[in-house]
Amino acid sequence: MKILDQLYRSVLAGNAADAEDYAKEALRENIEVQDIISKGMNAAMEEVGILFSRNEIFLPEMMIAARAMKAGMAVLEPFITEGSGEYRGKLILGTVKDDLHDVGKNLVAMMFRGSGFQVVDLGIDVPKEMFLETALTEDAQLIGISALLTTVLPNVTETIDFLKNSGLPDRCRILIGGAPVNSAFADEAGADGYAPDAGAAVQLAKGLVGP
Amino acid sequence: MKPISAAVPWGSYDQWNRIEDFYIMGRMTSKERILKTLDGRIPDRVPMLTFGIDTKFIKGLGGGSFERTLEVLGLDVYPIYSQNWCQGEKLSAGLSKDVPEAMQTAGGTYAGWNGVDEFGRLWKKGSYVGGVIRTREDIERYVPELRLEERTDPKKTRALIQRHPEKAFGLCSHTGPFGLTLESIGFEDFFYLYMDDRELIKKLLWERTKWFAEISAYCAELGADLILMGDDVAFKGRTFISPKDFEELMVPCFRYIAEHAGVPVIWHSDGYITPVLHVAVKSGLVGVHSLEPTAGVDLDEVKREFGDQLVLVGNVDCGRVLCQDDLEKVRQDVQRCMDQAKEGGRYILSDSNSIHAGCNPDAVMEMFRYAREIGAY
Repeated sequence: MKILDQLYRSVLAGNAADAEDYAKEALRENIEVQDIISKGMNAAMEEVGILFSRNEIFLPEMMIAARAMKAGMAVLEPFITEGSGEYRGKLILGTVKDDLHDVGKNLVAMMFRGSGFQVVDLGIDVPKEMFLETALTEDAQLIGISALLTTVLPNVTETIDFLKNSGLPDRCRILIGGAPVNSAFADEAGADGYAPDAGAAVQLAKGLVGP
Repeated sequence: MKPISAAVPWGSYDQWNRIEDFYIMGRMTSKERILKTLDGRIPDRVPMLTFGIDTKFIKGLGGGSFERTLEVLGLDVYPIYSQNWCQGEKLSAGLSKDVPEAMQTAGGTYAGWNGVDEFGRLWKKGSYVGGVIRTREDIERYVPELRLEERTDPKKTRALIQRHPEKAFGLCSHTGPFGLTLESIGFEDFFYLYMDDRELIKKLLWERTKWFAEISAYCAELGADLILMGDDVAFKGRTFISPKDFEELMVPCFRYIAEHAGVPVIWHSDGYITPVLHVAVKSGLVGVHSLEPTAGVDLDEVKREFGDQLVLVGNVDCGRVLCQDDLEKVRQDVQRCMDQAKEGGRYILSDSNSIHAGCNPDAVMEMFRYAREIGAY
């Protein structure tokens, strides 16, 4: 459908005004909301994530694409009903206890929202209990733990241990990321996945939650 | 012959440094070593520096004395700092008035920063939380006065330099133009403005460039031998903006600083800066610091490509190796850096960011000790 292609291109190009207009036009053409989101916007953000991971685009381009997606979603949100399947899954996201950095976490939140996930952002310095309580209350499929300081890596391990031993359902997967984190640490800490950047995190999450 | 100081307890690292000085009389001073290296010539051994030292080490190694901490570490470059203002109060990174506990300040280096500083950066209990500049009017509001003497305390700085004529001195300031512009606006808004109103970004960049150049030139007049310009432009795996854009934006700024500083300028940046090292060369910067291995910087690759054009500084992993207590791993990492970068000169051994609060003191001391042991040419 031409309008969905135009919407896709406007999100990819980071044109928020056009994304909003095309989203409205798509609704006027009675295109299913799910299709508008998945083909017009999620598909564009998926491409953004791939281009970012390949270093073909960088932060400015990624962020304005996410901003365009947000503009389009603002038009569609009144028409999305709970459980209607428009969201791929729900992510509980936070920076681990004793770490006050949020730049990486905010990028991840942006990319996940832009790729059709619901994100509950717990902020910074998040105690392990809050991760668990929110994941259970929100019935989340994913928990994302961010860390920037090497000194808080033990807190990441402790948080994962706590989550796994405190009744977190098996279907709720734990992802970690951040400057001092790598795949070896993720394996040692018992995480279900590690991603080196926000784009890769979304791809990983899609694989974990399924289509 | 230099006397061994009777005031230093036997067995301390400072004692080791003085023994080395005693036995290598007639060899280079730290200043000579650094200047030769910056000039592209081979010194007696690989010199050593660090860009920043957390207050935890000032307390633990130096008993609260910054100067004593530097003596214990045995560095070739002693840092001097310029102080800044936050909410009207003069504060410094790394030279806090009361040397607080590290966790009180989320890292220990920005104690007391709370509110909007003179550049438009917003702080909360020592942590940077965002920027307030959005418009051209905001830019005008947050171009700080130079206040050169108030910032640098010339009397104290000259006295420090006079007490240590054998050492090289470097202005260490994490207020380079790109990073300071980004921080003054805030991470997300900077990138939106970068795409929506690039001229505003350029205007602020230019103000920050001129400011940094003036501070640098003044410190050079006071006696600094080099400038360590802290300017973060990358994170793990990539630069913040494309290398092409970065070159177009920053060559004029860095070149201005290099030409006006009056002494060699070394650029410090975290992250994967390999794709923009050519910008340092084009701008006339003398060297680059950090060369963060966990971000993807391969010292061997960088040496091959830029080893005859840039002084390489850093790459000893302070993200992991210097945070653990296996000293053999520390020696292995120092050895690796020496193997990859020492040949031909133009290498200064350093940590890959700073001696931060997460570092293990024994690991840090072993890094410098072992570097002295194996660093001779």
